[in-house]
Amino acid sequence: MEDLVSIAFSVAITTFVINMIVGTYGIFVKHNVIKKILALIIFSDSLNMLSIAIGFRIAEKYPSPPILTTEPRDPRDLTQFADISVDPLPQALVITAIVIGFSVFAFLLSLAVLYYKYNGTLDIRTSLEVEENEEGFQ
Amino acid sequence: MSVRNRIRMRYKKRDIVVALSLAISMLALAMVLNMGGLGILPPRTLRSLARSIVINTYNPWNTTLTSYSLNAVSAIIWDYRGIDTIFETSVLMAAVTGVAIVLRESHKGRKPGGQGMSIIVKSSTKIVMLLTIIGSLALAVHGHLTPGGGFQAGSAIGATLSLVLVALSLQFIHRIGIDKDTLLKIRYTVLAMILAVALVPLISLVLGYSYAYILQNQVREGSYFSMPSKFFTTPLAGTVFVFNILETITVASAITYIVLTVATYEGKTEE
Repeated sequence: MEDLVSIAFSVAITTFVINMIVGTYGIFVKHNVIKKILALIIFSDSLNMLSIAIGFRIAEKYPSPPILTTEPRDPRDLTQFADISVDPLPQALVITAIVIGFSVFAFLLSLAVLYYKYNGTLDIRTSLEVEENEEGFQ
Repeated sequence: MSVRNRIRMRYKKRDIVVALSLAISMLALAMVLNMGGLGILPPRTLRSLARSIVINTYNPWNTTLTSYSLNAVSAIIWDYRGIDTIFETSVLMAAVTGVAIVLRESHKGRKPGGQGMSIIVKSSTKIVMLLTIIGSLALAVHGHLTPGGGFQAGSAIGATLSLVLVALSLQFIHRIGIDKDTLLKIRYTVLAMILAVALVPLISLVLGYSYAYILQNQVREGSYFSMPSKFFTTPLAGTVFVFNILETITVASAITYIVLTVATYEGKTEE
């Protein structure tokens, strides 16, 4: 059973890393500004998932979320809780990262709207090469 | 060779380089994972920092390190890593200001938008809006007891208001008293309130009662100042409760402001 969990965990982590690489590829290769931003969103969300996965653990019976369900009556309750609880630190950092990511992407998308307004297109090639070699294009 | 072909050739060469470098980075990451650079995953024991946080999040027997919050994630966000979160809220406000500056040419005189969707969609959206807002308020108020907290509740309220914008109309949102200027005012006021609550413990320092720290929640070493830890018999967790509610208002107004700005933007290309 534990081997199965470990194998599934490796598969999940490899998937997140592959997702991040797909996101990097999109950022570099796609010409559309919106598609670049979407690739960046894929990258950051895969990174968040990876952080959450690193905070996971194996516990006796099942791991529990880092939330006490009842007020502890005895110090031993707290030790028992620490024996099954997952790591709360990545979760707290990830929710901060999600909100910062939201604000950054909102700003980037508004810049994309501005780009469309001044160039009439979302293709970044229009402002780079095409203006230099204008006679080659009809 | 024409210019178009030359550009195409250059992109093809660049594609190959990008693919090769990504493959090499994938192999390097796989090697790191295989050699155990991240430790044996998933681990059987909790890391020591996480263990100390989990044990001290609600620990009446260790009063100088506890925060009296049953939810360890909320305790980290607003107590153990509080300054981090306050600056993160400031980043959110900076992004809202940036969106407001970039998309400032909005509809002024004429009324935009249509009359909304059919009566069935409108009625069901009203019911969903009421239920979701009540649910998110419960998330915010119980942020230190159950899963949830300020960010989640604020995002749910913001998503509900954008749903209302699509299904009903912009006039409806204006009619229930939500305006861009009002939202910006609410946002600045609540951010100032968060900073004020963070500075409240300094009052005891000024009055000469005891030493105090910025963002202090409960009793710490060398300081006797403490926010209320219980509301009758319910754990209250002091500043965690207050910050959760304030953060709900902040995030909800920020998301609604961004959605309204984009919805009222006059997007014509310049001739």
